[in-house]
Amino acid sequence: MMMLKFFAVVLIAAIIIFAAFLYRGATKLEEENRAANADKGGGCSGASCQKCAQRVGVVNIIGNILMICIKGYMGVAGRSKGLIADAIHSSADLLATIIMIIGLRISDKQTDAQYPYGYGKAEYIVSICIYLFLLCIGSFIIYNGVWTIVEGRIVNPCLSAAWGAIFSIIINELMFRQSICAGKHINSPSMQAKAWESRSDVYSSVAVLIGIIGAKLGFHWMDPLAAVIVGVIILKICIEQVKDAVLNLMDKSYDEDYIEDINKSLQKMENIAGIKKVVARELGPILEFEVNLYVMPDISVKIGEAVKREAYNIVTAIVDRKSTVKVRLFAK
Amino acid sequence: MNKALTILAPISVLVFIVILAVMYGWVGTMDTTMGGETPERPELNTAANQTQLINNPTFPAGIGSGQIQLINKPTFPAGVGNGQIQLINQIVQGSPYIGMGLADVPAALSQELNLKAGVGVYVKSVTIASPAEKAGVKIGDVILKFDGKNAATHQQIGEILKTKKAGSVIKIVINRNGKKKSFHIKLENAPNLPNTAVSAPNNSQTQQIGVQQNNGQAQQNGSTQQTSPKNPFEPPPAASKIWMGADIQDIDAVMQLQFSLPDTRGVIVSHVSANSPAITAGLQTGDVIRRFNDTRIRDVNQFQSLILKSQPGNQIQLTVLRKGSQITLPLLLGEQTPTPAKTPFLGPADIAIEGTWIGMDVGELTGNGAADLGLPAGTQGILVNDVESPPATMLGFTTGDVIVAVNGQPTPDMKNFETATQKQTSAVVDVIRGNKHLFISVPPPGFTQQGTKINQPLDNKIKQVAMTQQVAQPQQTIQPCPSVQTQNQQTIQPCPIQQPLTQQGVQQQPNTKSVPQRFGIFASNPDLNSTVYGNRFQNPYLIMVDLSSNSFAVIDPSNIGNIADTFSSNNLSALVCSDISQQAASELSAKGVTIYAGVVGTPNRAIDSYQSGSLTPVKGL
Repeated sequence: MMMLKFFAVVLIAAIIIFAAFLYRGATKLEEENRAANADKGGGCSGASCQKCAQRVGVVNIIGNILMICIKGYMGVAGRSKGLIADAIHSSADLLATIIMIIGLRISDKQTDAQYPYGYGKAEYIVSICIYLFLLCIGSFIIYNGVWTIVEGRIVNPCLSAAWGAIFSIIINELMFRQSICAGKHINSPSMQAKAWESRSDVYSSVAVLIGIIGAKLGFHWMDPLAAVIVGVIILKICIEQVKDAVLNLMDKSYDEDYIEDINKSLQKMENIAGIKKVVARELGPILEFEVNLYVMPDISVKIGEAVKREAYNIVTAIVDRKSTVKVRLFAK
Repeated sequence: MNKALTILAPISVLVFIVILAVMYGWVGTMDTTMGGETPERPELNTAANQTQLINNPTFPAGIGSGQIQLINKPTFPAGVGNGQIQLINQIVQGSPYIGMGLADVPAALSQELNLKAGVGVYVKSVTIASPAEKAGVKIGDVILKFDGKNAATHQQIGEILKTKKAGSVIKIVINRNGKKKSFHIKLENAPNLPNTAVSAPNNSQTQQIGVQQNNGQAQQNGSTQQTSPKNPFEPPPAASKIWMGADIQDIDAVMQLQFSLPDTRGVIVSHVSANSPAITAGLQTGDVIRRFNDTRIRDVNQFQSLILKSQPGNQIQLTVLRKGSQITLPLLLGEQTPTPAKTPFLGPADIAIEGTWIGMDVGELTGNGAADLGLPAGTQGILVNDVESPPATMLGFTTGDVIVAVNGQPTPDMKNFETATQKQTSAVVDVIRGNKHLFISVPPPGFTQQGTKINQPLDNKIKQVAMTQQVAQPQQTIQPCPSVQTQNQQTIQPCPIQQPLTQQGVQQQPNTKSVPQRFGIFASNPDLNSTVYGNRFQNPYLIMVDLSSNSFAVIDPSNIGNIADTFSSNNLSALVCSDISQQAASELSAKGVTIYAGVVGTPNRAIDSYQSGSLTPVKGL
């Protein structure tokens, strides 16, 4: 019991320190942002920005780990189904981040004789396995929560659970502010998407908080109801992720807008007779482009190579991600 | 390193998720009534009836949850007075003061701690904010050495203490739960502060020490009823006391049910004395005190210490839960001189035993009896003449108790008492002991809606069963029938019981109803002394009983297969279980099987109850 209390105190202290750090970071970023806007109307300001963007990732991971610990502990100790479900939800978010990192690691691995195309797709397989598992957990949460309501079991959370939810709301909101700010700053849509994920966590925590308060007021079904809502959110995340991974495994075409942009830019190139086809697929964090161009049959190899290099430059300039570009030339 | 991290990180998160999911499943079925205070109660795990009872508020709905048919002897540790503690005790000036109440080591504890006979002194109580408490001495410690000398009796310690002065430091060595610890106690002059002793389990309950933390003993409101062990270090009660005039108790599960309380928080008022501050404030019996001023009340100890911090004449606010709504009562604390302790009850010889209930002989209280007990003239109630057998012995009834109400229904005479006790549900009994009221909780008396008459009872029943159990002891060595293949169950032969089930039991059952002779019981283990199980949360063995040949056979959980088929192929026409899944129930009833759900206890007793027809079948399937 003493140990548990000790853990709780340490966790809360860590969270408060973290929140303070986040808050400071967020305000600082905002100031910088404002200053940058004043200077040159937004946009990325180079190396310092990259560093700050990296920090957002680290902050997200640490924040999520803390969140899981505090919510798990408070949820179990405070006997709140909703908060435990929310902890599982946060774990799912953390898993997404971890998978992303693993994907980066794996794709960094050199291609070898056995896998000449590299390991890019390993990420999707890992992701499918993990999210199918989470799908089961999510279903269990919903099933158990609904059953709890139907059977009229009494879930009587104590106030520590409410504190867990409040902490979660505060930290997620701060993380959202930081990420969205940094995302806008370096103009990264993926980071902004991550930020909105934090925002959705805020909403789910608010639902949990309402559930806990409702249960405290005597509506004992409200806490399991909040758990069911969180369960549905978890299911939604899982289904989206699994769908994504499966589609990418199937080499789904990359965003049409990009392809069109690339087409337009390529058309301006000299020395080409037309564009046969541009396709792209995702290999984990890497985008693979295949650019098929028509050229006049009488050009020299030298010019051909120059065309290839130019096409490569055009594509990489448009796409903001790590990418490989394969350019093939066909005679008209 | 990095590689290991990439593998370990997701795995650890996954493991964490699984753990959380398991916890998630627990929440809600978890018992909310026990709260944080779950002291060692090994009985909780062993006695099925008990767990059920305590869990009852959160008991999942389903067949068999509404009615609990108790056929086991309830080992329910309601305990005497449930932590009712003397409310008020002011301390006068005294010389070296240590603040412990001492007693000889109870035999059970001595055995448990492996102490030699005549070694050690038991710490019965520790006064709050006393030198002993500051040093870290706790109730239940056994003092082995006191100031370097072996401690054998508490008189010895008293002698040593007399030679000391306030301010001197004494080293004591104690044994706490088998571990030796030493403390330094700095003696003080007895403070002039209101203070109290936190009482330890009474000596009369030594058999329960180590088994159950009975957090208190019945003591009298205002004055110390327990006058016997006056030792030099427990300061004598002062003449003037803070007085509220209400007896309070911790709330247990039965009380929670009976008073339909949302939880067991707070303390319940078991009696309000006439002309007391409490009655002036409007406090009533059955009120639950939730807050004292703005402090939440957890238990009697806490409430008591809060009271003791106030002064007579203080105005306090009590937030009280009455009939589901909270009201706030202002209360002016008073003062009272203690009334002398009543002489112990010796038991008038001329009281006729008029009935028995849950193992006690009871009779109407006569005028003489009331006088003998030192009760005010005109007290009407049911006198407990003798506490013979469980469950009464386990519940803390003692000879001389006067039952004045059962479940809030006054019992001035035998007739009312019978009506009040015929009800199936659990009971909270309002008892006068000495000149103090207390609630004693009685778990469901174990009989069905048909009710049993007070005179032909329960009591007999349980004795019979107790006899049966002794006879049945050797049965534990019965090998269950060689595992029966239920895939083709047509060939199951019940194997004979080596000892007849209850020969006397069968013969003495004049009211045996004609029940089908072959039936099944869900049980935890393949013998008749196990626990009746259900199939919703457990995997029960199926014990098939044939009353006509006094025999039974057992099917392993894994071999039961489709339950309805098993029943029809074995020609079983009834099922006794603690609970049953909806599906199994409907399948069985479709085959014409009568289901007796909500039964707790051993299969042995279930068989008896079944035979006597005292179980109620589940209807409306």
